[in-house]
Amino acid sequence: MNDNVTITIDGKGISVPKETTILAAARALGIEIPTLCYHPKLLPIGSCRLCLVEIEGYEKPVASCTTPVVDAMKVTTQSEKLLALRKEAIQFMLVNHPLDCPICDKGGECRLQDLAFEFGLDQEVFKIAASPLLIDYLSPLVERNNNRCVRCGRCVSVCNEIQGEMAIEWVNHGYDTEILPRGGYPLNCEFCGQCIAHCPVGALLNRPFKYKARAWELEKIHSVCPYCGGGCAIELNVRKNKVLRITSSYEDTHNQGNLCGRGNFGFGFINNNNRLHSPLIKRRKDQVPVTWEDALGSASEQLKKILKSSGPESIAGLGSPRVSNEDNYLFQKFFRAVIGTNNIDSSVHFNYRNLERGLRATLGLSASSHGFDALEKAQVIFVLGADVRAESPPAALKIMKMARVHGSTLVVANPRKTKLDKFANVHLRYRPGTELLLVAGILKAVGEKNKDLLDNIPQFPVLKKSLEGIILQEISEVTGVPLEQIYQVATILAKRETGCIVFGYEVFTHQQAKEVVVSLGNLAFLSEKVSQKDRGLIPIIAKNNVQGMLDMGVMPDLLPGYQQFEKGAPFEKVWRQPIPKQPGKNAEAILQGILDGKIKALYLMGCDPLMEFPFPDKWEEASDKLEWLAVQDIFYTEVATKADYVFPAVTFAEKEGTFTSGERRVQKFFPGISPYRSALPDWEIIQRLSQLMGYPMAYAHPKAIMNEITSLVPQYNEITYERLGRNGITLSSTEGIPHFTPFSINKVAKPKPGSFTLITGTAFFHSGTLSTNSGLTVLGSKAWVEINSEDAGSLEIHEGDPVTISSAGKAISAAAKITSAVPRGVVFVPNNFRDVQVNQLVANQNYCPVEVTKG
Amino acid sequence: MGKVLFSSWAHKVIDNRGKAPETFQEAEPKKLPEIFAGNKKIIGFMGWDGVVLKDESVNIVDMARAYLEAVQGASCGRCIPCRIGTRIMLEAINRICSGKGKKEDLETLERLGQEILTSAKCEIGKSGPLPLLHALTHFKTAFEKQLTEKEELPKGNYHFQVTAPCMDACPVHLDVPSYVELIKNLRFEDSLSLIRERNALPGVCGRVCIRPCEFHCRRANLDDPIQIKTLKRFVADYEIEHEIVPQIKSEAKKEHKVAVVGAGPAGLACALYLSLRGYPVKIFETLPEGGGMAAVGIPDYRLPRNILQYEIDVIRKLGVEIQYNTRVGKDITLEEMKAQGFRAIFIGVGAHLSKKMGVDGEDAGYQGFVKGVDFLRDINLGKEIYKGKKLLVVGGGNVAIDCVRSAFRVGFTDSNIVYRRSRAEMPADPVEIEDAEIEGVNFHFLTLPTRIITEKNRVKAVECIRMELGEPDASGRRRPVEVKGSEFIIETDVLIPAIGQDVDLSLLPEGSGVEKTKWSTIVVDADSMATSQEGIFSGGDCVTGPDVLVGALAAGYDAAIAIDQYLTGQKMILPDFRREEKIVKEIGVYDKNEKLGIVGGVPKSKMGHLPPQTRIHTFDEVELGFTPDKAIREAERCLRCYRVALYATKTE
Repeated sequence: MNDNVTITIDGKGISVPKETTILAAARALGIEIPTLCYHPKLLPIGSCRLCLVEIEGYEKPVASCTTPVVDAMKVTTQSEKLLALRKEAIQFMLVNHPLDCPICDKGGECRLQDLAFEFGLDQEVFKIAASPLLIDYLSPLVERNNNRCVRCGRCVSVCNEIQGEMAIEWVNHGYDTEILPRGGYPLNCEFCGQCIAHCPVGALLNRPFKYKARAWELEKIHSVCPYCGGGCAIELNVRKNKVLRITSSYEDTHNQGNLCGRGNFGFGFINNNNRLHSPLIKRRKDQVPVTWEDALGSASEQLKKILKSSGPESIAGLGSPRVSNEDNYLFQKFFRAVIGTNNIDSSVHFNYRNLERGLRATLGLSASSHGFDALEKAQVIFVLGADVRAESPPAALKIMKMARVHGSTLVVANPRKTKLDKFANVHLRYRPGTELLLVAGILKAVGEKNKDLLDNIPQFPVLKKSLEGIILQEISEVTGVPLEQIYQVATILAKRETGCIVFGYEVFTHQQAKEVVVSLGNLAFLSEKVSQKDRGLIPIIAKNNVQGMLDMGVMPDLLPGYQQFEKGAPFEKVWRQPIPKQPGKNAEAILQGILDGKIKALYLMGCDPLMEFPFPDKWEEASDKLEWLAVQDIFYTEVATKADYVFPAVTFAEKEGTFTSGERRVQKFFPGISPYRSALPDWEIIQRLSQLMGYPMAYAHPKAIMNEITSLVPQYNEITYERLGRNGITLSSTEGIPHFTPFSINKVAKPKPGSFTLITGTAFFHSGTLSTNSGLTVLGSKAWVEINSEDAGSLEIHEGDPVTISSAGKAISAAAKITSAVPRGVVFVPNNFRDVQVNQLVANQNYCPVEVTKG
Repeated sequence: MGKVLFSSWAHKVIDNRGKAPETFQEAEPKKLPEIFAGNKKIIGFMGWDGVVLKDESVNIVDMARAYLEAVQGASCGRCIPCRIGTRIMLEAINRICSGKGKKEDLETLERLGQEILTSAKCEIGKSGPLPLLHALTHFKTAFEKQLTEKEELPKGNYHFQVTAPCMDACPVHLDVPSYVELIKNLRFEDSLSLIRERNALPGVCGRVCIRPCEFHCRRANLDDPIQIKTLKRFVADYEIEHEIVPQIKSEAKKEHKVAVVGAGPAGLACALYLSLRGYPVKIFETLPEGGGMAAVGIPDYRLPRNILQYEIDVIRKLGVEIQYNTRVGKDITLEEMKAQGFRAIFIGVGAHLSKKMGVDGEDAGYQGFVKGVDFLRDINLGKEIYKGKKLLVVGGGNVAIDCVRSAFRVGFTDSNIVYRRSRAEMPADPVEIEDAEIEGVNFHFLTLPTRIITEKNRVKAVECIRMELGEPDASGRRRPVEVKGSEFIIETDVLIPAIGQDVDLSLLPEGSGVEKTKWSTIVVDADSMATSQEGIFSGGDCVTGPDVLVGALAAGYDAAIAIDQYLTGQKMILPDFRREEKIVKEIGVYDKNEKLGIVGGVPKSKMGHLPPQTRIHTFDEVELGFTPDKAIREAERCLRCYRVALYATKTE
């Protein structure tokens, strides 16, 4: 059967698929029908009545946005009657609309303004006696002015359909109908700002942007969001060398113009006055501003001395998942080619570094098996150990949509309740740190229930051996997940439907992170979640360029592209320098090396071990011991206070380069503004330092660096800097053949009744230095303790009471937030807060046993 | 309706003004009740289809004002013309009524009225200005006169209500357009909460309701009706599938205890709505599980056990206590209940007794002779399974169809139904009949059993006679007449009569003071469900005889209102919203011949089914419901046919 229908619009024929709306068919014909409430990514609303069209043979016009085509339909989009109705609808919208366009932020990009202009409506024909409505000055970031609202309903739709927040709703009837926050002002939501972005008029304002610029004065520069690994395409809205607003367009972005609160509001760090603006040198005890020549000159001289006296192994560096591929590539080149050491690592040693190890072992992959688009086809999605909404909002949007709109089965396994729980079919609340046991249990259960299936898989015995000692009953007891739920998930996955396994922070910070990834690889292979299209084993990565940094070889044991040292000849050829063949020291060994006096010089690029690493106190001690400590950053971080040299770097908004997102999408970003005072791009600082160290480096542009990368890093062979268009290129990650891989499981003891476990993770509004220094602190700048209401009851803790959490002689304290989101015996404290350094307690995991006391 | 002064209802203008009452022409609507309530008379009516005036004392201008006010108040505000346009109209007519009107105001009313009728999104706007436009046409002088008045027009007395054809058809008057709209807006939980305001068993009704709403759906005038039943099921299932804890708010706890006899739909509904009002309720149930006829009379493949039990649990978790295995009348009497402190009792027992066929030997206790309801009950309770290959069911209702379809599932391979009329007259749900056909049931239409043939006290065969259809009987269906000499024999292992049920009222002994009918049903006041005995209420099958499930839910709902009134010492009267629902039902909200004037042709969402070859071997649910995207798409087809009805009243 032909699923197309043929219709005529304004005399022009077109054949379109059955469920196409008249509006879409008209647009395909290039026929313009005016709209206001319509947005292609939202379900049609039909409130504005501007897109009315007439159908031959029917008395009443219909809204073309809501009406699908019917075969042989004859549509008229322009007639006197339609024009009159459209004009009247616009007149209605103008009733009591405040004539404050001169001071309305929307002026210049307002749909109502455009419509009134287009239809030549120069008079307010009607007036309704009504008192002005309350303007919301209470909510942070978002200002609602319902006097300007035309009740199109787009904000409600985007909040509901795309964000799954349902934070605003229609209230009242007739003319008094308003859109208000559920439960009244102020707004209580995740402040994604999507309502503002989708408001066609000036009813919803971006508060930080208010009165900052007229729309027509803004230049929009293509960039990539610097927060999570989702890599959303954004536009820097720039006026007079200042980034004033972030936008993203539906039409030409892979994220369909969707942004989260961090993306929309979290850019304040760019224009922040606390930015480092001048190089500093420590003279005696004080750090004093100097010129670049002095700073780099002195730094290179001193470093050369150390190199000469103590050798290359006495020098180490730590890179950053926040800076570009080009910056990271040059950073590791500096160490390998200029210094001659592999002593280079980063914060991801403690988490994401295990991803590639585990994926390569089982599935032969170097990154996520598939892009996020696999999520959009998944009938089953199993999320393990990730607060996807906080760790990578764009992935969460896709998962939510599949579960809510398409009815995909969603299994969410997490020690605490996350936003996705609301849309999940199965909720596994396992005890912190038992991820590996849980996955092993599910594998075992699949094996038990599908003997016939497994007998036909040749390598299954390899896996079976790893599962030999597993007793499901015990797994259930230690993980706290009921046996029937383990079987339920096993049954769901064993159906081998299209689907994805998604995992995140909890997995990466597991004591046996690599083994968990291996076990998930096995599970993905067994349940056919990786072997075909539209499926995937998808890691959720919370920092924007983790994947890129690893691809660039910022790690002590592998060269860029995860290549072994013995295969380093091409690098030696291009770099014209022999490279060390011994693996270098990793982040932990570097710390020990400093404490032991073996490492004397440390170069930090966008890295603050005092905030981001376990054992911050030891790092403090270590940084005092160093003979040469250079800190290159955009802010004066904790560790910068101890530096001998401070190099001010620029943010993503002031430079050009590429980021590689968690789905391995390589995207270009461009400078919107010139560098802040004396600050320089990271790659340029490294280049200058290299030159002073006697190594010739002369890249004129990041493009030149990327050209070298593409020639040396096999995974990046397929791209060229020019070919990376608006949405970048998503690279394949397959490098080997999937196979079952044995893994070992450390014993996990069942917690004693009445004991507490602390878990930590990303708070949505706060993910590190960037958010600390951005506008997001209006949503809260202090950490908190989430505690179960029953536990709170027995400890006599009330909402807001100070709570002390202690472990192994260390303690932190924060205000209590009583909730059902954490189960009994578990407390949650977000990480990355300066006031409460949870990494003092949890060391290199994300959980630890603690004592909880009031006060 | 008879004689009125003026009517423009249903495109038929009857103007009797100035004529002698005896020469008045008949007008639409056919039925407009005389009385609103008590001594309040209905003297005028405005609605989606026009204007009706019965009395000269109605001021048409003021009534039009009141109607526009009602329309503006009912407008959902989600489309520009209705939200703003009707408000501008209201302001114009307010000016006219207050003696400050101008000629332009009349023009505005006329022009905007037409425009809103043409361009609004849903039916409030698409019908709201209509009676005013009728008034402007037929009562122009009244408006013009008012323009010259400088005095404010006195305000009349009016009652208005918002209805929709689907709402009106539904015995519990569910606000269908709203809950469908909430599905469209992905607010599935809110949709279910709204349904629960009037329907105690959404997941059950979402599966087995006879769905009067769908037969009154205006979308059917364009293409296919909205699948309202399946949408209801969707939101009910969504809650279960996502382990969502229902958010149901109860009023503060009250003191007086209420007893409910029977945990069937009527009893559960009454218990739920009393419990929401804060009353402690205890249900006494004969069977070991709840649900009544819904549990033991409907097979699992149509209504899975876990769905019904889940919904009973929702009610229990609100504090309703259910005591099973307790037959009222035997294990406890009504008197004993009163003595235990129950201040009111609701009797909601079902029709569990099979009607007799009037064929010799049906009381002889032959092996292989099983009554329909017993057959279904025993299967449902997992009791003795009837053995044999061939089975013959007599009847044409849903119970008969449930029996023949269940038969395959307990091992019969040859399942037959005998019905004395033709397929068109079968009272069973057409969808059920179709499913039975797909599964391979043999239908013997125009056939009447006349004799049971046995061998060694076992059913062996049935003698039947052919029928033909004669003149229509009281039910409007053509009466079947025997064809002389057409007797023939159908062999069978099991014979099941399923031609109707009766109510067992043995719980009401002589002297209980509860009046009964000669058909063994309980007599109640139609509004309050009160029996002739103070403090005892009743509803459901035991009042109506075997009837539809949603009817029992409605009775339980109404009884809960009346019991609350009774226990708080108020007079038991129907609240206004219920009275309006009853009145508008008389008028009739749905017109299957109405031309909508808009394009249709939007295909309906198709629900998945278990394939016939596998499903006949299992009691697994046959219908698979909607996925969210299908539900959303189906919800988008809703035309939101809300309409405003306004009554002008006069107290005499």
